[in-house]
Amino acid sequence: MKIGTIMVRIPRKVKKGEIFKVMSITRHPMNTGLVKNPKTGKVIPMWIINKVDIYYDKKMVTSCDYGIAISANPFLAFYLKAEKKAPLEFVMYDTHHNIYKKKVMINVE
Amino acid sequence: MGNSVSRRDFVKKTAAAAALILAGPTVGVLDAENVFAAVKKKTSTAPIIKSNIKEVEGKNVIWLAENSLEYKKMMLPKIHLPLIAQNGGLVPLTIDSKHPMKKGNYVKAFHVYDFNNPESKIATFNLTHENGKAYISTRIKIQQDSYVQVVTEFSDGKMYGGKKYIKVTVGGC
Repeated sequence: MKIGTIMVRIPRKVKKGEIFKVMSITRHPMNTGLVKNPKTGKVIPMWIINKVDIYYDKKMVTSCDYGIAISANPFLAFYLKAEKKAPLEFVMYDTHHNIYKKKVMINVE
Repeated sequence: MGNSVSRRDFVKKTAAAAALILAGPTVGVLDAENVFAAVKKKTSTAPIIKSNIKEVEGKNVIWLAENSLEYKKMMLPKIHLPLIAQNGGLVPLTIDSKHPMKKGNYVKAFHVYDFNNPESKIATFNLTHENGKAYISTRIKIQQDSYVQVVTEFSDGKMYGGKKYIKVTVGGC
């Protein structure tokens, strides 16, 4: 899998007004910049995701600011209230100026 | 066969190995002690910072006594952390509150701090009333035994603090 792949788990169908859980995992090394490579003895430079924005129906619902103390392959779970059938979009920014995106559709009955 | 061992070599090596085994106990104990000392050195902790955070983003943080009436009334979040984390690089953290999430009265943010980490600020999670539930679950890195402090910001701008103690066997940062 490529670095920056975002996997999202949501229920297949939700009722209107239901509060459901969204779980996500992103593939990313999240190097803190404090650890040395045991073979070469050089410090592995810092490379982390530092900002996560989550949009539901083009409105920002949740956003996170990360420091260096988030584990590798960051996991994030939160709840969301189903309003209408609309896309849920994850946008992540990292310190190497990469942007990772993922869009999933929420099926509201 | 390219890498066959000659008989003379074999005898020499086995003799050396036998000697080592005979002299084994003392060497082994010493080694074990050294390893133990090294481990102790690695996990020997800097003093745990117990003081509560006073200010976040220029606003005062209010600390209530746990189990007090006001504490229950504010519906401050529960911090779910393991008692002992074997791997400090992967500690599951869940912040869960029963506070209602209505327009004008909701949990705006969770600020997570640990003052024994190399960088004290761990993360900030901004929520809105569309979340429906004030809940965040993630995984964090923790360097040593310490207090993880969570500051809850409500939509009226007031900040309330809470903390939990965690033991860590191997540091993660």
